[in-house]
Amino acid sequence: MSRDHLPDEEHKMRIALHVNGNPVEAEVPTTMRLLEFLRDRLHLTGVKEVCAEGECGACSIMFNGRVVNSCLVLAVEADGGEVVTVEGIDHPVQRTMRETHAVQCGYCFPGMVVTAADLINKTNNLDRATIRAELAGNVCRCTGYAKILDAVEKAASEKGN
Amino acid sequence: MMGKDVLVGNRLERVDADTKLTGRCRFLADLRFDGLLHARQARSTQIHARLVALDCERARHLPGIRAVVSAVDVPGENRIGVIIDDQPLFAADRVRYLGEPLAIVAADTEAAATAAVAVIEESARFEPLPALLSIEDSRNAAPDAIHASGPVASSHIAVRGDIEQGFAEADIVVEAEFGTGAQEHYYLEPQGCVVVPEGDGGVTVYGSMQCPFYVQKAVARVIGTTYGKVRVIQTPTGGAFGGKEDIPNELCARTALLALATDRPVRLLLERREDITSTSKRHPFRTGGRLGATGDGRLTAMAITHDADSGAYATLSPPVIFRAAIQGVGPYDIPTSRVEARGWYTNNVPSGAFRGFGSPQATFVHERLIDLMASKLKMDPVELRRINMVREGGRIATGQVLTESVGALETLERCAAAAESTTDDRRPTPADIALKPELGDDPARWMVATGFSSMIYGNCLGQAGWHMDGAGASLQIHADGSVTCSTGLTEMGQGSQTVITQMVAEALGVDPATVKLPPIDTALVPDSGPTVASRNVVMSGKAILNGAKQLLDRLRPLAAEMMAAPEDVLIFSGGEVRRPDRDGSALPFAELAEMAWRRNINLAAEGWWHVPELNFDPQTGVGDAYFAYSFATQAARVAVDGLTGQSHVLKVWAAHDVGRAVNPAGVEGQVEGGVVQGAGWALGERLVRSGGRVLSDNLSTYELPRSIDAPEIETIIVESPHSLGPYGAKSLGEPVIIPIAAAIANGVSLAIADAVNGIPINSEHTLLHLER
Repeated sequence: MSRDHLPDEEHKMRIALHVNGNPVEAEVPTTMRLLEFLRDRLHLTGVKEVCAEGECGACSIMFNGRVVNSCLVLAVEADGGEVVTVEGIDHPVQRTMRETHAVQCGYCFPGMVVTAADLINKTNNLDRATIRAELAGNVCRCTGYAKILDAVEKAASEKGN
Repeated sequence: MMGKDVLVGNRLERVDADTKLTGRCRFLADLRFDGLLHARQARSTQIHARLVALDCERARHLPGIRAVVSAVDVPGENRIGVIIDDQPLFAADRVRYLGEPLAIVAADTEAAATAAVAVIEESARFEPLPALLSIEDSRNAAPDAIHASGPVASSHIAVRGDIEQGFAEADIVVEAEFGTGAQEHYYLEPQGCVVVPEGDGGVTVYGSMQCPFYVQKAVARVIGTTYGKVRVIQTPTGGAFGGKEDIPNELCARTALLALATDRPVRLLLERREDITSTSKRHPFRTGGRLGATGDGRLTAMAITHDADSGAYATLSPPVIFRAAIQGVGPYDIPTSRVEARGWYTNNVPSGAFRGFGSPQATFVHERLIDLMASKLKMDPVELRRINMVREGGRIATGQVLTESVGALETLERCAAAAESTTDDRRPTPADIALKPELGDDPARWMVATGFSSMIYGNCLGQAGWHMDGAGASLQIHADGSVTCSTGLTEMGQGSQTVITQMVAEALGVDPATVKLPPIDTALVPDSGPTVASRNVVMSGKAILNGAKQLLDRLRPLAAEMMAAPEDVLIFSGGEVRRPDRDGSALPFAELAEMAWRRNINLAAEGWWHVPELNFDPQTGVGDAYFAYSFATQAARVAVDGLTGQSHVLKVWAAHDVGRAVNPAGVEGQVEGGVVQGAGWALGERLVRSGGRVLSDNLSTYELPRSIDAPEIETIIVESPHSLGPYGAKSLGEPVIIPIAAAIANGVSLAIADAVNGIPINSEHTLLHLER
């Protein structure tokens, strides 16, 4: 993949950011992706690498309040930023996903949880069609999405009550 | 047994949900090992060629390189074929597909490994041979063009009655050609393993895989040691769908060579493009089919000839071809039939195991033939199926009489009762518009219809794999009453660990929260064969029941003594032992376990079960090929866009005879996932190849179904219990994907009033045909 052909890892930068609420400082190669920084340096292995081209959503994290694919962000771009990974999320949708049997192999779920939690937090009166559209960036190969949609609908409706 | 079950039949929450929802589930790439080296494979840059020179020496001296291994360095056998012994671990003097491995490198970093791989690949000298990239190419070439054994990797037949007579009795005959495409598994977790050397010539293998016992044998053969010195531990596996059946054998074997050469742990992780371009795919099929019927809709004869592209090596072609033959006429009692299925060697990347194992391809054909016949007879396709569907006591394609658990007709009736019918004008109904509001904007633009499809699925490995169709369960009750249960068949996302927990708790009468299932480990449980053929719940369940009976036989006398009760009144349930003849008298299971421990009673047991012998004769194509069959009918409501030709699936009704639903929520999850995966194969997942190269090598070019593509799905559970299934349960994991492509094609064919006999369905073709 592209990172293997990048010229060197000699160019480094110091970065300082918050990850899951904790201050983090590190010196990182300018070519390092945020995904690698989180997984390899901080051992936040909940962040998953699947397609490495920003199409699957498995590496989704919150970056400065927005859901992003961490495979498409350089670690140096996160300097001064706020990052939240699945390890930093405690949201009712995790419970409803358990209750509706939404999980199968689980590999897409760290990204799915981040995306779903953000969607529910930021949107009122979510309907199923909107949820479908908003989760379209997170690929799941096991579940057919039905029970994931059920879980998000359930958590969203609980929020409304 | 039935009726009093407490846990079986309940929607117990998944035992692995919490770790997977919090990011704490540690998959292979998340594990840490001291001194870990990184492996990469050097691959053939030719499609088909003699390999005349390969220089690994230069690469060995590059910075950061710890070991390089190729064919000449293999201490055991340089062989990896899983059923037919046609495949080298490393190409030695010949390459048969683009990307075939030549060597493997261990290095301090992935970048160093990648650099060394480039040097090795550049050193390879080839003499090109003609590339045979289709079944036709293979047929027209010299018989030994790819393998000395001939162009056919595998062939099977299923025969019933005198087919000439069957066609002679037909009033109407339909005949057509069919084609189905390859499919990429795209399990989200890539292939990978870590091999740790144990210092005694043996290794411990950690990996994402379906079949630890396959890996154990493959690694031992390659490194030249006994099976016992190879321990394989499955790590949580992020999807497989057949793609992690045999591929882990070769990856783990090559990595084991590096672990032994360096005496350090070595990790091999395939990058996504490498994974897609080099690992097995669903077999593409080309099929000729002929079906005869009387004017009143009684089928008299079906003749099918399947030709599959097996790719460069046989891998799992034999069982794929076996299923395509045995299940070739579907769940119908047709007096005469003949199915021939062949897999042809080509120079494509090997085709291999993919959920359904040839069944989705075979079902596409028999279900299209049924609908073509219904159209010709001007008969409701459901009615034609109803007339001919196999009943208890009826026969299937090999002449096998089905004596029990035949829920086929019930799946049809319940699916048909639930599904929206095709209307005469084929315009959107209010229900359709509710599902997809866009249909209401311009109803004249859309053509909507409902396609049906039914299937039969032989449970477990069948006659062809009978020699390895046994499975174990190691049960241990601890002194505090908690239970550990090791089985030999793997969880890959399908939910087996939850169902196994339920069955253990049900069988011993304990609280499921006290049951712990360790990772699947070849050192903990007897060789239980491969986790394929939807056999986990059936096989592990029977082994658990056998083991639990041994334990209860030992505990019951003690419980009787402690409760001063006769043994035969005691009931083990819900974490205690009760005697229903005296209210309020109960012995906590934990107290019983502690007392048993104090009395030195053996609280461990090895459960075992194997499939009964089968008498199918591969030479004649006649006999009993499987001990039990699952059945299903699915209906797909499809809308074809008259502007673009694109087909949309609005809703699917899926009725499955599962024997017994141990966990109905798990059943629904399997159905929903299988339907969407099969709909992807039918509509969007087009594997594009050019000159032996897979061009659609990631998500931007290979379109997986997303949340916006998935239809609403209504699961209809039919329970026709089998006397040999645990609690009556039968196979489910593959049946869910088998009927749907044909249901969609039947729906589109009805919607556009023209025959769609190939998938993936081509929107341009659909548009041209509906405009005519």
